[in-house]
Amino acid sequence: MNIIHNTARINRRHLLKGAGVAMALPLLDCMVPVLRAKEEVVRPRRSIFISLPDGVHVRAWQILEAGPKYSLSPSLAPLEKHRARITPISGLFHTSGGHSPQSFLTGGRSGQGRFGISIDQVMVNAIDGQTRFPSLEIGGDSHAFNADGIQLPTDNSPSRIFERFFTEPAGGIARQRRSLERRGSVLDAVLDDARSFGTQLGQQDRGRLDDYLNSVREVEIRVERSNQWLDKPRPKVAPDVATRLNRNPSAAGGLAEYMRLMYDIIVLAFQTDVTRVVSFSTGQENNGSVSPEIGITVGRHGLSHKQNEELVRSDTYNVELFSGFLDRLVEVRDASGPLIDTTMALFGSHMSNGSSHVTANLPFVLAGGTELGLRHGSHIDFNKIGKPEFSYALDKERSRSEKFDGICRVPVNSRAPHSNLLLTMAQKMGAQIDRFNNSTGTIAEVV
Amino acid sequence: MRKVLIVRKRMKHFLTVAALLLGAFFASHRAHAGDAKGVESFFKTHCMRCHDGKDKGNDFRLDTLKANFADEQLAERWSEVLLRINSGEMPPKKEPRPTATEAAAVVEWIATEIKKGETARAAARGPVTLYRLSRQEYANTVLDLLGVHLNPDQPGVFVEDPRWHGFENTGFMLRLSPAHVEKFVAAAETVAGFAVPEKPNPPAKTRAGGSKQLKIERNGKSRYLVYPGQGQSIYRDLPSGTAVKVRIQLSGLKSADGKAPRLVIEPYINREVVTPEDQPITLEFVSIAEKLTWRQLGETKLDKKNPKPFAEDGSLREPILLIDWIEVETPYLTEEQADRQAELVPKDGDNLDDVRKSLHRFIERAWRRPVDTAETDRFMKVIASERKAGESFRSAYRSAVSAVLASKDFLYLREGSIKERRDRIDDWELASRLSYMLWGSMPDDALFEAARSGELRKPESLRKQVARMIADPKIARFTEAFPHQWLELHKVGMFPPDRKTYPEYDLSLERSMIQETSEFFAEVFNNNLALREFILSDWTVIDPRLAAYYGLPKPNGSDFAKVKLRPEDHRGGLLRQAAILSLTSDGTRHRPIHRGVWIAEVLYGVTIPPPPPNVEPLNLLRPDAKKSTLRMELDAHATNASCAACHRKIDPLGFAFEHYDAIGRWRDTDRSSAALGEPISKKGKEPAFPINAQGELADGRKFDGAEALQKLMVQDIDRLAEAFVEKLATYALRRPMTVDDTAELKRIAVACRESDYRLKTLIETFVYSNLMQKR
Repeated sequence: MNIIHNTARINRRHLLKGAGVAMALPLLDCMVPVLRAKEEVVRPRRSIFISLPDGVHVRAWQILEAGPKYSLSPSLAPLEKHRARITPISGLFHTSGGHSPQSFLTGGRSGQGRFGISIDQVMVNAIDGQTRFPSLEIGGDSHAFNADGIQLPTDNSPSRIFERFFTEPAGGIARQRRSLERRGSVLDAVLDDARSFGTQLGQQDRGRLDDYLNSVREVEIRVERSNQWLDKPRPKVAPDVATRLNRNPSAAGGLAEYMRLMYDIIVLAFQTDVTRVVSFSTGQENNGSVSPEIGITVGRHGLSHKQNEELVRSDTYNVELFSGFLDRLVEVRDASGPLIDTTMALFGSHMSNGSSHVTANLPFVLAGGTELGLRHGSHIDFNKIGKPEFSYALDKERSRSEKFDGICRVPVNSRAPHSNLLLTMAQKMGAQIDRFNNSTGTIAEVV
Repeated sequence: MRKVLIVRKRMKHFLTVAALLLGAFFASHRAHAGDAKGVESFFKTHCMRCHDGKDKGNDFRLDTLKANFADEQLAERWSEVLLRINSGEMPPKKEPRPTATEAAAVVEWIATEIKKGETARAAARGPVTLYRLSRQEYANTVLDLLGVHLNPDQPGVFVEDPRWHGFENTGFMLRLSPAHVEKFVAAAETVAGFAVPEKPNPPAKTRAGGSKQLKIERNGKSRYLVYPGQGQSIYRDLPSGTAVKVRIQLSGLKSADGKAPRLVIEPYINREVVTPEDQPITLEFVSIAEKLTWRQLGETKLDKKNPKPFAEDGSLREPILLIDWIEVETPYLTEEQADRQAELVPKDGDNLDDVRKSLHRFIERAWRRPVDTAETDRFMKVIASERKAGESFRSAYRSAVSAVLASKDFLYLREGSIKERRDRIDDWELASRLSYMLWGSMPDDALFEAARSGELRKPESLRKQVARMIADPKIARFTEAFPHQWLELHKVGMFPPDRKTYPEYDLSLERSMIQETSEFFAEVFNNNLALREFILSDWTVIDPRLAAYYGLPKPNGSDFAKVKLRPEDHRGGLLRQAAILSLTSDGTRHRPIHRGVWIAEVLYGVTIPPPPPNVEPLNLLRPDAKKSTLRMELDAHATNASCAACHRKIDPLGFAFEHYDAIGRWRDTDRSSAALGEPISKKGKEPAFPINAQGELADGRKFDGAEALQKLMVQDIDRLAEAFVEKLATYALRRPMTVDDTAELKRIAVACRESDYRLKTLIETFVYSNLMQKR
């Protein structure tokens, strides 16, 4: 990436002088999205990615029959009422090894050692600034990586997210504009100084300086955008809703209270079009995610090494909470219809069996988004697609089997990287890409 | 073991696999001879039939693949080769199969070369190198520059820095995204806000008491009586950037049965307080925590509604604290810090010459180098434009200060010049290297002065400065930060121990454990003891909590103190400290393999290749897990040929510590692998197994138990010293060492051999070496 030596870049002070009449200014590149947002008639497309840390109890999760006539597995049973809206997917894989939550949205390391851009950020680029916040990253491990492969930070405080999204900052528009201006002149000086540094730097150092310059430049654009957004009031949230959502969950409420609060804030954010892309890591890898309210006091990492009934209970409980989230997406409507029709929700984990740290036959459920062209109702089983004579060696009790362990370790179908699923979703969000990481194609069965 | 421990092999030429097959490459590199035969014949036998370009359908050419691992793209191709071989995908099933050992040898060769290439790639330097401050260094720097107390760990203030082998300050890891820059700009605004307030903000003292319910009258004095488990808030919602000085006057009385009260003010105070009732003590500390509470540790058995801590005969049922007062002073500044803030802003904002002079002086200190007029002008412009926008002078000046703090020369340490290519750093850069190494922060005025005079690099002057820096209290930042990063202490408690299995484990024990290790390091450093002490010692530094935990006699007083160890105490050296023993555990069980990897990587400085992806796991859930121990299962694992190649080099190092559990407690017997990590069952007896802490190093030396291994390691002290110098250099120079540094690193170690590798001597020898002044 090069240092941006664009002398014609907008001078923010010109822009700011016209504060209040910003819309009358000539069209500047970086403002276009904001203006376009006003004219938009197409329903917004939305995506959310929800991950479980440390894999799942794969045997209890596994659906045994492929196609439309499947029975939900014990762990997925809470999704029965949403059958028509979901597609469970088996047999996808990545090859970046266990405990790499970074793989969840990047599809795994590309080449040697590094994670590239994550699919949610590909979507953000496609949406191009049509919302006040480009995306929301919540929870334990950030799954979001920008185009430079840098991990974006997460927020896991519901009240902080609520404040950021829905509360007008104190002091009114004039004061906010002044403080953005201040930040603007600080950034101007900082950029001028950095640009003066010449272009004779070595490759490596340029990399570090470019990181800095590109980031400062991006922050400058964000300041400009914030300034644009100042004239658009934040969505009004009814006082009772605000009281219910603008808080932090009590410790006594356990996992459920935290998850429901987050899910409700996300639903509200989608409904009011504050953001359209969310990645939600429900717990930190290797650490925590306990649910004392159902008697689970050991974190999922500990449970994953035991692969016991408690892990099944934790999985099922998380699926139940996810099912509740789908309920809300069905109930809550934007101007044109239920959110679920335009919202794709992916639920799953970046590992299958967390005890043996294996990453084939990953657990995934894709839901919603029919208006974006998704079709649901079947269990898509890449194990069977790769090998028609394939069957799961699981008995009724789903006790341990060597063969089943094997398919979670080595993919049955080597042409089913989970990048294919991510690519499929990105295309449905309107991203103009036909490859993503190691993808071999889209998933024809859902489109 | 010796074989793995050879890390560096020089690679001067970049040859293709084809040339490699000719043997030309290896013939000239004897160190490789052992590996060479295997690698060479492996490619010939198993790969070249299809990957030599003659097969039209196959465009993955190995015959033209250069063995230049310093080139990013080539290294990526090699890693693909590694992955294919490792996963068993290549060679394909129909081709002749390599043995597991053959495949492992090739995989290890590629992995080592890639790793070596990584450092070469990372360290490829142009005329100027930029090293970003870590967030801790940022906080230290704004404290020394402006007296602003940022708490780098406070959520939302900074993004956590990624580590490279434990080190937080490695340049190529510290990348920036817009989210980072937003935080740095916001932090700059916060810092400037405190340093240049609109109106002066003099510190104010207030007295926080306790609630009325705690108040009692005794012997004519009104005090707060606190029994176990009771506590209250001292303050909350402290804005980031402010410090508070807290003073507390109190007495502590033991209960009739001899229990002493323990005052806990996380994270600053956790100590027993025992004084006569009429001779209270005063404790004081400076806090930057967002909120602070005090309490007496423990739980009371008294009736909460009507406690009655005194029995009828006047004796105490439970230990109590008697608090006279708690004083809170905020915003707290030392005299020096207050002066810094006072001199920052010119008195007369309308006198532009004064303004320019003040700003210029500030930028030079902030950027740690002389600046020119054009540079200062950029920030004068900020003042002008802000004033034009109607801001007051102080407010406009504040924006200029923010801009200086958000600029690249503040956030990055810059070495080299674009005007002239030089391979040594200049005096200013040396001043920063010294201060960031030894103080984790910017140079002070004396160091700047030495740089300005051009004297700094003269040996005599350098020695004087270094001696002064080591004597300064700020050296504590080094003796805390360096062992923390070198020994990867951030991993302690990373997997919080299961509360059911390890009820005695809590955050305060965890803090004591970590502090033991850094106090131990400081003790070796301050007394210039031999490096050998890290491996094996007959002493350690513990507080009363750890004494109880280890079953050692209590040290005098309530603080950390040095204690003598006997063999039957089963402690000594870093290796048998609870922090080190537990940082490799997974929260429920100890992990011998991880312990082995830690010793190899951290102490021997060796790179252990990662296990192949999707490897057949150790079968932890097999039906007979009740009849075997983890050690037995690992031994079985190592009989598998494809695993054994690596594991026989790693595992024995960990097996030596089988007597220590996941949180570093001594144990006499082993448990079955099914029971390991579970709470000890109250019903029914659980079978006990004898502990097997025997092992054999790859070079054939045998041992039984930790101390025996430690004694063998002491024989390796030359190698350990070299590895230590490399770690020290990585920390000080903020980059991985490359083959080009090897000779100098070795020279430094060798120079200290005579003097027994004494720690301070090692560090000083490094500081005076060429490496310290090399770009």
